[in-house]
Amino acid sequence: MTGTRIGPCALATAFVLLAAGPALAHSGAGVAGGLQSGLAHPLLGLDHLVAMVAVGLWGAFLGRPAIWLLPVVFPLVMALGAALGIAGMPLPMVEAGIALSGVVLGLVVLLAFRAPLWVAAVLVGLFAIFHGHAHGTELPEAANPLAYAAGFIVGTGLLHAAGILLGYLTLLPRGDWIVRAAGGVIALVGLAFLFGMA
Amino acid sequence: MIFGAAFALVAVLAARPAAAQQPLPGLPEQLLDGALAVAGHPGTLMTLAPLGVLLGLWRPDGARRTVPALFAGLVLGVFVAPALGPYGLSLALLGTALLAFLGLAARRLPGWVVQAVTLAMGALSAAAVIGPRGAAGLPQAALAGLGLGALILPAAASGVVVASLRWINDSWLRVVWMVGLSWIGALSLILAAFRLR
Repeated sequence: MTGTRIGPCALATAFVLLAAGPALAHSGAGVAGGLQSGLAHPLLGLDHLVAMVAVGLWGAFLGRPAIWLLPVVFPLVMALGAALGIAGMPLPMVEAGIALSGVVLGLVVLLAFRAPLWVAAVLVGLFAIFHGHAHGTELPEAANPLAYAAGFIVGTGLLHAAGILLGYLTLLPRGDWIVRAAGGVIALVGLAFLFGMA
Repeated sequence: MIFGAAFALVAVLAARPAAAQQPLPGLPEQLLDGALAVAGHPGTLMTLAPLGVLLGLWRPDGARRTVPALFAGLVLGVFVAPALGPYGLSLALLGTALLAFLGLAARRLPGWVVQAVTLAMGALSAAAVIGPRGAAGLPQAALAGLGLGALILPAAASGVVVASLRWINDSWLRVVWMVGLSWIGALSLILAAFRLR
């Protein structure tokens, strides 16, 4: 075998090995593995991550009581979506809904849209169903489904908290522009997922 | 009042004629086993502890006010357990998800709603832990211990919430309890979905 053939083979092998890496996030064994996989799912999935952070950011923009109501509503409705997924009930355009959540929630942060509380709760709840359904359809394959569920609920909560903390930048001079710019980035990431560019 | 109600439950259960004559040496152990089982069974741990959190968020004396409803619910649960069959635990877990939603407006909940929810959760948790075979096959002392533990658990959870809110007088702590309640509610909903699948 010549050196010119070994190079592409080695590159292909390395590519396959690297590409196989993310799949490990859903194959942990036992309770610890399930918990780790569940935590990793929202944290490592960029489409989930940006939407969760946007919920916290928007809550921080809207102030009380939205700042705590939205992160309390989201996991509950997300669990409802997960239950639908576990039960095998199909939900159309789940991935598109998740991507759209990034676009819409990013835009409302970018535009500093001051929606009435019930509108914000309904909007966030609607998108939570898509995120939950995506988690729910993957739950049965996890090593320990309950630990996986606990992991993704806690992971989601941590991302909301991160969004709220980022939202406190609005207290700084020109801080609201930083937060609104973050909303713009989130919307762009959502658009990238929506059009299959990410 | 809690201990009075618990004593009454013990008395009611111990007065049942059929299998009341258990060997005396094992009674304290059975009572203790029953009481400790409350902390280890999802049907009680994931229903009565969140109920206690809701009661603590509702009013500082929420647990005390709802003891009669909880007691009545537990007794009711003993009788409805066979009728609910294998669905007792799933229904109790769905009830916990409802508790989490109610937690959003805990302070504004009317008294009759809290009393009704407490009665329902008491019945569902008792039915969940007793199971479809009913209470007839269980040792009486263990059943009494179970009732005792089921009365103490929400009172203890409520006590922790109330004490923490008095200790750290900050509205954020209240939010933290509500977030915790929503996470438990979400987990219960998923667990129920698994059981009903």
